[in-house]
Amino acid sequence: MAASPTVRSPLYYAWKRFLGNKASLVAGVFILLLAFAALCAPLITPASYEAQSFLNDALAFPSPTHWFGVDNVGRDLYSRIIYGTRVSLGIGLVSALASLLIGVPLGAIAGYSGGVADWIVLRLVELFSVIPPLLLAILAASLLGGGILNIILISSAFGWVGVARLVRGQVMTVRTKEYVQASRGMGALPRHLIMRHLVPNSVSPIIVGFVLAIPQAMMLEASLSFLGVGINPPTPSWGQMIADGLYYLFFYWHLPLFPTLFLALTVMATSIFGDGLRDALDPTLKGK
Amino acid sequence: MLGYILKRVVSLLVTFIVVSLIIFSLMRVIPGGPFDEDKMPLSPAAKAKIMAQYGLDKPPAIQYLRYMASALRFDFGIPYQSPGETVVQLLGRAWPPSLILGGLGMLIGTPLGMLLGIMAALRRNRPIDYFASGLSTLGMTVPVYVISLMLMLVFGVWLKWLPTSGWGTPVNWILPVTAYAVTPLAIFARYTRSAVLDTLNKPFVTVLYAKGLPFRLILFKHILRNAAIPMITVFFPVLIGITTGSIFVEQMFRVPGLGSYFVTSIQKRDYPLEMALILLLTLMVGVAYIITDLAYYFLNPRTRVKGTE
Amino acid sequence: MNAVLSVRELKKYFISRSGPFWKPKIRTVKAVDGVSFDLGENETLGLVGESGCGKSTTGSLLVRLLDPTSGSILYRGTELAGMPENELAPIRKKMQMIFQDPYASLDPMMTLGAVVAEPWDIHGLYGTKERRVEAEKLLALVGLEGDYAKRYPHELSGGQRQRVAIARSLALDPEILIADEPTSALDVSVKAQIINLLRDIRDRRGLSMIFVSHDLGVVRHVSDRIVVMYLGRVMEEGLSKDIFARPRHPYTRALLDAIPLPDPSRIRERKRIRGEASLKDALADACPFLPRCPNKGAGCDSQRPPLAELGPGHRCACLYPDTKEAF
Repeated sequence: MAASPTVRSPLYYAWKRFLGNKASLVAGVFILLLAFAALCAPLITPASYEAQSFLNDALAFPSPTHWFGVDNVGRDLYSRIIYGTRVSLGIGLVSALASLLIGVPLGAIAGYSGGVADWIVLRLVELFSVIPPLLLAILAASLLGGGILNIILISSAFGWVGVARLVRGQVMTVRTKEYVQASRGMGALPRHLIMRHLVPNSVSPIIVGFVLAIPQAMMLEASLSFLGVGINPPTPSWGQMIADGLYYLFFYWHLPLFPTLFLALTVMATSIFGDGLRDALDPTLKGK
Repeated sequence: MLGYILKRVVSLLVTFIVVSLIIFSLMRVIPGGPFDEDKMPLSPAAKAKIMAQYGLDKPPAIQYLRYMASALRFDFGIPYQSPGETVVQLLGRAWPPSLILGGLGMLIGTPLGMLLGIMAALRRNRPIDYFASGLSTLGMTVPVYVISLMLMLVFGVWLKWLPTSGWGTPVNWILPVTAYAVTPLAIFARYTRSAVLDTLNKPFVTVLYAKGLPFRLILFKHILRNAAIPMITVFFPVLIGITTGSIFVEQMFRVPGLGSYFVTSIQKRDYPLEMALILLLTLMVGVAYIITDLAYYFLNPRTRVKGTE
Repeated sequence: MNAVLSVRELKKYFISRSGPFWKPKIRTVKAVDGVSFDLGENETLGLVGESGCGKSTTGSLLVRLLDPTSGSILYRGTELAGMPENELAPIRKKMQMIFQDPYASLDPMMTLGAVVAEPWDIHGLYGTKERRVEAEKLLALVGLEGDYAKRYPHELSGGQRQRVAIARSLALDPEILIADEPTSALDVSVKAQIINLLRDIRDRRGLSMIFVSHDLGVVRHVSDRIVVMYLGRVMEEGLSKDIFARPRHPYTRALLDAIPLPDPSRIRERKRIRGEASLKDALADACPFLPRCPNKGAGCDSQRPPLAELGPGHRCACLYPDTKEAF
């Protein structure tokens, strides 16, 4: 009996599957570039996002000096867009993280305990699903005022639902698996079952939930900013820039065009990346 | 079975009440109303009079109950921003544009999406498939106001073929309807494609083919029927998409519909209008939820017939 | 007899509620309905019957994966039924279970070494280094020598996984093994290997074993005594050779008659029973086998036939037992 040459954990196969998905790879690279841009913003932009240094050139079209042109109050559009990357990605990441912190425990408890706890969590999830989240978010945002912190709060308040649903489903599946029963038969306490079996086998939905919550949060922020109840000026937010630029649509269409382009591409990229990740980690999660 | 419907309706009612409570308390608790000093300077006497007129001087619980009681009679009060009419009248005005544009969007987007999905499924891995998949991904991930903007840019500004705002004539409708249609098109294309693909791979289709039935007959009689069932469940997210999308589309194309009133009512703290809108929307969405639930239950013979126990 | 395990009138009823809450439809599934038997030292008891007869449920009840509705389980005189969870821990170490599905009973995210060492992790035994060494020893014991400890379950075949499950069950040095259909999911050629492995380990360690299976051909090679179950009740009980030589209960006879013989030239008279086993037939005051029984007679529908002693250690719950020899 020859020994096998290399040991392959299940995650290795997931990685292989992911690499085969070209769209996700491209999306991933794009996101990496964006993240890089966000981090190095001051190094790659000629001006700060609020410096109204180019009033003489206000509303200028893209040119070699101003790659994306100048906005209506003399700010370099390219700089604003790059700094806007920070806002979008930052809010997306933090909100997704917060959604995880709320959603994973709730989903795990609901899936594991069943009964009353499960019923309560399910009712909450249903509540948040029947009411269009955007409507409530708009209401909440207008009442709380804008600002980064409030937006993150609101995003997490709606983001945890997706994560909780995924985690709950997985925990319920794993809980009935025979290896969990076997551990119980050996005398394992719930704490051991959760830490040694339920959590490690739920890693996929947790990762997927996290990655898919990012575009959701970004979209929410952009929508709220677009309506004027999101990020407050002068902090640049693509949604807000679109709204402002809308006024100049007819003659200075570069104003709304670039934020629109970036928003669309970023949301698409994160979504495709998230889908690819989900397909790689657990193809059975598709459609949930 | 009746018990099932009853359970669902009760569930909806509970959700409804919870939502109304939440919104009501949110609006009352958060400081800032339409009669704040900075927005509308009034003498104390005048302010007291207006508060009494709108019933804002009673304790919150009483206000809530009075409100719900009149809501049941479809009396939602008078909008602050337009005191010359009742909320119901205002909504009556705002209703048609949203319904027409949104409805047209769905009516056009749904069959187109389904067609695209079917063609993509039948010609798998050929150009049309990639096109359909790409389009549906685009439509599902790109926010609706971005799509609207691109449409406005391309057709309104650069090509100057179509007007970009206003509500008057059907020509104004073309761009907004297109923007609305993207969501159902994208969603239905994706789901139709996967539903048809799933059914195509089922063994019973191979049997039919082997029996000698012409493919077209198989397609229409068997495949589409089987694929239709999961698509019912997709109706609900599409509806939600259009409802929330209306906020942006109406804003961008300057359409005086429910969506734009929603935004202005919030910005102006117009409580009566806001409450009424949210309640009606919740009701509409909740009913759609129940209908799709029931439709799925009925159409799927597997859930209907319980089988041997 | 020196009974290690004594089961008396063990019952497990599953109750389900469905329908609207003002008109509930309560359904009771009597999975185990009054089962009694003893397990002696170094003895292997075969628990046989068709699917749904309650044998697997009985196994789960013994290890307290399920709680009995009523009845008693005595381990060396200590009553297990009704014992609270925290007191069960020391006794759990004495009784270990091997499950049917080798593809599901091992956590796919754990290495084989971790799987085998998990019982020690649960009960807080051995340090990290010792665990590694002991785990490798156990794996070698079941025929997996070399660096298997670092591998993952998905790299092994069904037979190999079952070996790992067996190794794991030995980790706490139990006295009793409860094997729930350990070979049912395996190919014929592998079945023999696993059975031999079990016999080997049992003999070397002096274990008592309860072997649950629907495959009489397999049970015959492992068991000293056999208990035949049908719809949650015991139909016949006796020494393995007695049961196979002279089955008394018509159900047992039908089961034996149904074992395929490898020699097609041997023709035997086969009593065929009709119908299917359905729990609806298990009425409280009648013989559960009545609807399908070829021997039925007066009295079969008015009482549960008691387990009557028909020979030394050979008991049968039938009012009209067979007397012919088996083929």
